[in-house]
Amino acid sequence: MLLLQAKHKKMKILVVEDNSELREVITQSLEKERYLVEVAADYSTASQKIAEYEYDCILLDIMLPDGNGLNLLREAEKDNRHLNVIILSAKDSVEDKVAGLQLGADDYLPKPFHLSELHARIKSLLRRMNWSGNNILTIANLKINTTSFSVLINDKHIDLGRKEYDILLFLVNRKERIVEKEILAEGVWGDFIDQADNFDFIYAHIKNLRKKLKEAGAQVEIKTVYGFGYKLEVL
Amino acid sequence: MKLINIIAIRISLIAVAILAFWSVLFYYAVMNEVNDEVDDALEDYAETILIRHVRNEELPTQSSGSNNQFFIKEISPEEAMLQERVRYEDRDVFINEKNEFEPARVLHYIFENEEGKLFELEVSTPHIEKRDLKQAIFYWIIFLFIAILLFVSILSIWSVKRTMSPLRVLLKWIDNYRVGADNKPLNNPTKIYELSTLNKVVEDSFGRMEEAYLLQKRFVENASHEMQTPLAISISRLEMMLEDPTLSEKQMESVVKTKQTLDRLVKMNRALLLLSKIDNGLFHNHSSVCISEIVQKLIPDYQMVYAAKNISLNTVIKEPFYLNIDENLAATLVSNLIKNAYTHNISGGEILISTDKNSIIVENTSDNGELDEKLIFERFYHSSNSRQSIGLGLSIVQSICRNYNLNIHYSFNNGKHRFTIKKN
Repeated sequence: MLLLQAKHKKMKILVVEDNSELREVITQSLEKERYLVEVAADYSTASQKIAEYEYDCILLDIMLPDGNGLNLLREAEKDNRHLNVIILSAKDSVEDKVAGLQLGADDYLPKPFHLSELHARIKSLLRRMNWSGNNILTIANLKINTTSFSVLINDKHIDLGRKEYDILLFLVNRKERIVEKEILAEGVWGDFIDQADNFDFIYAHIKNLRKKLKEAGAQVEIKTVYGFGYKLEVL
Repeated sequence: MKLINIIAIRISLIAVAILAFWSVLFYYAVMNEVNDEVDDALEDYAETILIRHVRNEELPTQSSGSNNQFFIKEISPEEAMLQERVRYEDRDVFINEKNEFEPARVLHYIFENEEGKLFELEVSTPHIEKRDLKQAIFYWIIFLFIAILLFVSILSIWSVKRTMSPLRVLLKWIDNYRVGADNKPLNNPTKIYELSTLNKVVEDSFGRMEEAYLLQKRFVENASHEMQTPLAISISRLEMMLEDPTLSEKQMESVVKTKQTLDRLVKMNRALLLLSKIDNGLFHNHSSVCISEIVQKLIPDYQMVYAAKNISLNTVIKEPFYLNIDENLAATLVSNLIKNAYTHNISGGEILISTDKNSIIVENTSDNGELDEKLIFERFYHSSNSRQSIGLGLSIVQSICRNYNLNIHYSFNNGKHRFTIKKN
């Protein structure tokens, strides 16, 4: 449905980032996902663009050469405008995060981040924006209700364990992308997992999940990619 | 040893030497003077007797109440040749009136009368008792010594107390000083030049130390920050590369491995940042957090992750352990300890976590014997077989403990590592 939406009307994203290389990488990756991307390298350009155009989503770096990115949020607040903002910050500090979210930013992503994570955040933001209140994710014949944590296949409820649900949601949010085991583990279990020398415990969950999806006749499949990751594909 | 004691001991040692030397000198000086006087008197006495004897006058009675005595005897010229004409000696003489021996000064005088006969005259007078004198001098010297010692002690205690009080204030200040903590300024006015200079020197050098410490802390923070963007770029580029469907499995594998290495670097960077944030005191959201509860909450996840190692984990919550701490840091503290207990464990080993009102103890079977308590909390310390870990976990634990005034202690017995965190 998201894809359909994107085909109807291209989502417009503004990337405010002073580092040209990072800006370029983000832009490339977003364009691949068929977003319409515009860039701003400094505060004044960003401020001007935001004043003139509407964006579906703004990726905002806080530390800009000519000002603090958070001020863009303050300006918009004065004009009674709501911007859909994901803050990208090298300063992974609680204060910044709290300040940003209080000023109306929708999400906060500390640098360095994975592009797959960035895409997942953008998608979830756009989803929230378009179907506010109704958090149902649809992919092929699969429906995931993110408020009631329930999964429906062909409108039939299937029973998933807590971790199985988390894994499925994580993969659906990154569909058609390779998700490494380590990243999946971190996303589902938390950062502390980083030192596990053995990711067999993930495999056990994936195996169960696959079995349940197959039994219910889901039109998605979790594929193993060369032993180092997984990929959710629509059949 | 205290300065006062050193001063007292040195002064008394010097006093002993000086007094000993002086007492010997004093004794001889006194004896010399006494002998001189006595000898003069003896000479006069001998002369009187001699003159009378020569004039054949009546000699005085043996002793005219003065205990003086004399003897005259004739001697041969040969005997006279062997002796000096006038000779003094000290010896005990029998005094008839007292019927006892007494120390005496004796004068021998050899003379010739008109007929050419040789006589020896011996006159003696009771003498001062040398032993008594020595004893008296000795006792007085000891008395003097004690008096001097007492005087010196009182004087040095008084003067040291008086003049050294700014030094004591300074020492106390240095002792209480903690680098990076909120230290009181040194308030220690003194008129003594050396001490006021010392104050200034100490304050200046501590100031420089503080600056260096701040710079170092900032440096770690800034360096970590600066690394974030290049890391983000490299990882993102690799991620985009992975999406290329034309990549072969081999190429993909090496891209993934490179990315994983970069991910490790990111983690290291994040851990360093966390560490410097803790050290810089950037966590302010303190609330009462139940550590035992966090333990209970985290355990199932760890048991799942390390299921392959077959480690049995037991928790004993004697009493809940509450701390006034930032919640995220509390979770970091506990998870680092548990992670540590799992990673440095043997297959089929044990972990025991127990808490009571004031402490938490994490104990686990060891995979490589006792560790050096001085090193384990150092940044990037790796025990021999754990290259997988970043080497910052325990440093972070220690930093958190330091910031929340907790005491962390490592011990090893019965093949088990044991970490104890206690409220101070």
